[in-house]
Amino acid sequence: MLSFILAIEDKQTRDKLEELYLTYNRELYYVAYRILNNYHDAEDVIQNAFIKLSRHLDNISDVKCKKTRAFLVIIVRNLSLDRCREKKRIVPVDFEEEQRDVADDKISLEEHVLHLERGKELAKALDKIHPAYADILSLKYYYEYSNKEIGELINLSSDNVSLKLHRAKAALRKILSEGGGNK
Amino acid sequence: MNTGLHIDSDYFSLLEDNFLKHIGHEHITELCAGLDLEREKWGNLEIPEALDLRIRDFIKLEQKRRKKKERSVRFLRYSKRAAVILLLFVAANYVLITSVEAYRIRILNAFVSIKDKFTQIDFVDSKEEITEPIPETKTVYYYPAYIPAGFQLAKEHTLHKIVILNYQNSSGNSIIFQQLGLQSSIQVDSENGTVSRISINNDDEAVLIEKEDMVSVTWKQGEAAFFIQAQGVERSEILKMAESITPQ
Repeated sequence: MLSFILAIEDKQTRDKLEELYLTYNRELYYVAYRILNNYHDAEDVIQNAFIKLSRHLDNISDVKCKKTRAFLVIIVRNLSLDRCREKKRIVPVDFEEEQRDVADDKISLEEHVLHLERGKELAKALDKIHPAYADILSLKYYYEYSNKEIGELINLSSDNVSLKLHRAKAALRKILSEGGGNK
Repeated sequence: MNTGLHIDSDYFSLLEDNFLKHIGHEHITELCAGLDLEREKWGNLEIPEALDLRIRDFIKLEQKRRKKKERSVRFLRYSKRAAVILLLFVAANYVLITSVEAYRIRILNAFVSIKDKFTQIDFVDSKEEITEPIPETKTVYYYPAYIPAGFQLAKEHTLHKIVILNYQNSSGNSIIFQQLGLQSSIQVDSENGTVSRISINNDDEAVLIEKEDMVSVTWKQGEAAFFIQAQGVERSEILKMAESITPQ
């Protein structure tokens, strides 16, 4: 680690990418290794994550903040899951078939406000059911990336991203309808 | 009513987006909190040297790529400005040259003056037509009887009616003495120098050129033309040398 710091030529004007790596390298490596259980795969995933990150550096204003930290973790987590899928050769389900299953219920303003109050519990519940759904919802609605950009970040086609978003919303609706997330 | 339905749809969509954004925010808060709880597991984790090297090399490449992109953007920006300035300059000059005579003359003179850097000395009026062949006579060779102090003959070259003598001193200065036929013409560098007419050995049309520390004198005598050029030698010495030439 020390050799890495010494190797950086201009410490005064440290690059944002360098700063991100030095700040979050341990927890990102931990997140990747926890999923992959392999040092080399974890290294590959971290490197890929930073390659993808380099294309979105302009969207990162503050290095040491919760938003940036979570963004990096989401990318690494999803790239690790993708790596796992590759190794196990899991085939994705057809997009159109899945579309038919979901009902589209509208809610009132009062119900919307109630749901907002339960946001923390709902997010926890969704994360427990499927962390990738929660991640993808965050990338779409909190970080405001397009489906194509999300696909580039976590190695999915934009069709697959649309499918996952659809499933994520469906899962959330199911939690709401079952009263899930209430403590 | 269609309008009402349309508004309701958009409003619902806005509510949904807002709700999902809130979920996203809560999710990332939980994510960070979860990692903080596990800090003891990753807080002192040793990062493999190989990973450090890979990321470092990538960052260096990325920095180079970004600097190159910035340079080309800057170059494009400045070259556009330079092109606009050049265009304005050319347009302004075109307008001035076509409409202001004094400016046009000044510009043209600047081109013309480039040629005016030497003096040509002809010993025979070139406008005269030579209708009869020049009779062959025995050439009389002249040599200077007076040589400025310190100079000695270093080289001598004789061919037909041409004699070239090269005198040199210990300081490296040289004096060139030439005897030529009258049909010859000489071009002497006179840019920024002074050209004057003097009299040498009954030739009142002798040409004296002085430029910095270079002195040259050209005159006619008998059936020959003569030229002496020297650097670092007094004018009076050269003129004395010129007036001392005697036939051999």
